[in-house]
Amino acid sequence: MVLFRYLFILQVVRLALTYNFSNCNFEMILRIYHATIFRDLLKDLNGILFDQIEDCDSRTACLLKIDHHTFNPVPGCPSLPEKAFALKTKAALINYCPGYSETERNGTLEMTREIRNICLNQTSQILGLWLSCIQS
Amino acid sequence: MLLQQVISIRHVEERMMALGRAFAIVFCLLQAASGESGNAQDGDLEDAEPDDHSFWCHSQLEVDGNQHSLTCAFNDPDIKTTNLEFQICGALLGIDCLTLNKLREMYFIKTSKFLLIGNSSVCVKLGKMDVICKILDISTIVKPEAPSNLKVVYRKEANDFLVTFNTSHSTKKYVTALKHDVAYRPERGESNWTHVYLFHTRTTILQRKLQPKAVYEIKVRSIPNHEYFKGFWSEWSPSSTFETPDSKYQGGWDPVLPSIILLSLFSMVLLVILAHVLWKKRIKPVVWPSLPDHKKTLEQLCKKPKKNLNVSFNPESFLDCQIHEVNGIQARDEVESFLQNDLPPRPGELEKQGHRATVHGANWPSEISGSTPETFRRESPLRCLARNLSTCNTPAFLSSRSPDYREGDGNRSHVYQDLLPSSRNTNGTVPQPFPLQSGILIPVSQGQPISTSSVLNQEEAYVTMSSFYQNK
Repeated sequence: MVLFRYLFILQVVRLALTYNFSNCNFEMILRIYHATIFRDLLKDLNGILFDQIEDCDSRTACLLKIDHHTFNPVPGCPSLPEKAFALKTKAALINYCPGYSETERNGTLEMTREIRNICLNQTSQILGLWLSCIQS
Repeated sequence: MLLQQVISIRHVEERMMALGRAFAIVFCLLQAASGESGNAQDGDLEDAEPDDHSFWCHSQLEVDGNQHSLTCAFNDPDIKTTNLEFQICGALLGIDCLTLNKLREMYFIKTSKFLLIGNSSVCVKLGKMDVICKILDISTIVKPEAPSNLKVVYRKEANDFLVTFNTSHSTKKYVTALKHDVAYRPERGESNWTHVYLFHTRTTILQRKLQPKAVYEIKVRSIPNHEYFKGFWSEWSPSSTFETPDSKYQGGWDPVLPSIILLSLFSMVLLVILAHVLWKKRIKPVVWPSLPDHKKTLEQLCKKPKKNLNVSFNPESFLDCQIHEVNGIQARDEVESFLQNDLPPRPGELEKQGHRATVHGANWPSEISGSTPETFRRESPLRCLARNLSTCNTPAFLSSRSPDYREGDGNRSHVYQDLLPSSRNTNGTVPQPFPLQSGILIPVSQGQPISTSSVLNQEEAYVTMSSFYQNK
C-alpha cells in the first residue's frame, strides 16, 4: 500500500511538472511529421496497424501523449526511444517547442527483452496520436 | 688667378655632386618603387592577404538506401586545400560530429546519421582550428538526383511528341515531390532553350510549336517541390535528340472536314433544284395559297349576254310585252293594270315601277306561257331585261337559249323548257344565280294554279339579283 501511494504521488508530481507544449510551433512540427516522422513510422510498422486505444482532443494533449509514449519505454520494447522516428520527434520538439528539454525518463521499470508485437502496438498507438494531432 | 680658377672648379664640382645626389635619390626611389611591384607580381606576398575559404554544400537524401550524402566544395577552385578538411556537427543521430572525405576538389560524406531536423554547423578546419563555419539545415540544401531515361516519341495521330523520363525520387521516402524543367531547342542554330515546367514525368510537345524537319535537343532537371525539403536544381539529365517530320505532313490533312463541306454543298444545290422544280406545284400552294378572284368567280356565274339580249327589270321594258294573267285574280289585275299603263312611268315613279316590275318579273315565266310566238319574235321579256344591262350578265341558261326564240319555234313548251334549269341549260359547275324552284318553272297549262309560297320565293330571288345589278 505504501509503495502504491508513493507511486501515485510520483505520477501526480510528474504530471504537474510535465511540459505542456502550449508554446510549440505546431505548424513546423506537423510539417516535420509529414516529411520525416510519418515516413519512419510507416517504415517501422510495415503495413501493420493495431486498434487505436489512445486518443487526444487537442494538439497540446496529443503532443503530451506522443511525448509520453515515445520516450517512456514500455516493458517489451526497450528500443523504442532509440528508433529513427523517436529521435526525429525529439529533435522536432527541441527545435520548435521553446523550453522543451529531454526530461528524465522512467528508468525504474524493468526492461524485458524486446517483443515485436509490443513495439508494433506502441508504434501504432503513436501513429494514431499523430493522426489525432493533425485532425485536432 | 690660379686661386680663382680652383675656387670656380670646386663650385662646379659641388653643383655636380648635388645634382648627382639628387639623381641618386630619384634613382633609389624609382628602384624602390619598381622593386615593390615586382614582388607583388612574383606572388611572394600571397600569404599576406586572407584566403577566400567560402564554400557551398548540398545534400542528397537516400542516395544509397537509407544513406544520405553531403557534398561541399570551395567557391574558389584554385584555393590550396592542403591540410583543410570539412566537419559537420549537430542534427546528427547518435553522434556529435562527422568529418567529410576529400574527393579531388570536393568534400563528400555518405551516412545515415543525418537527422534532417534542425541546423548543423559545417566548418572548414585547418588542423584543430576552425577556418570558417556555416550553419546549414540539411533539409533545405537538397539537390535531387538528375532525371534519367529521357525519351521522346512522335505520335502521328496526335501530331505531338510524347516526352517521358524517370526519376529515382519516385521510389524514395522523403523527397518525393519534385518539379521538373524540360528544356528543348533545335540542335543547330544555338537558339534559346524553351522550358516547360511540370510536376509529372511525362509531357507532350505539340508538333506545330516545333520547326519542321529539324533535329531537337532535349534535357530535363528537377528541384524539390516540398513544403519541408527545399534545395537546388539537379544536374541536367543526359541530352536526348528527336527529329521533327517534314512540314507537308504537319497538321495531318483531315479528309472528314472537306467531305462534310462537299456533302453540304451538294445538298444545298439539290435543295435549290428541288425547290425550283416543285415551287409552283407543291410548295407555293402550301406556302402561299391563292385567294379566289372575285371577278373570275362572277364571270363564271354571269356570262355576258349577247348584244341583242336586253334584260331589264325596268317596267318600261315590259311595255311591249303581252303578259297574261296566269294565277289568280289578283295577279291578273296587276297584269292588266300594268298593261293598261302604256305610257312610260314618270321619273319619280321609276323606282317603284322597277320594283313592281321585278315583282311581275317573278311571275313572267308563267305569264309567258300565255303569250303568242309573235310576241317572242318581236321582243322577248328576256331581251327586254338584257337591254338595260350594260355589263351583265345574264345567267347562262337565259342567254344561251335566246336564239331559240328567234328561230320562231312556236312550241311553247320549248320556250318554257329553255327557262327551266334543265340538264341541257344548266351547268353543274356553275351555280344558279338565284334559286329557281322546279315547281315554279314547270310548264303548266293556262289556268293551272301555282302556289303562292313558290311565287314569293321567286320574288326574293329576283329582288336579290336586281339589287346586285343596281349595286354594280
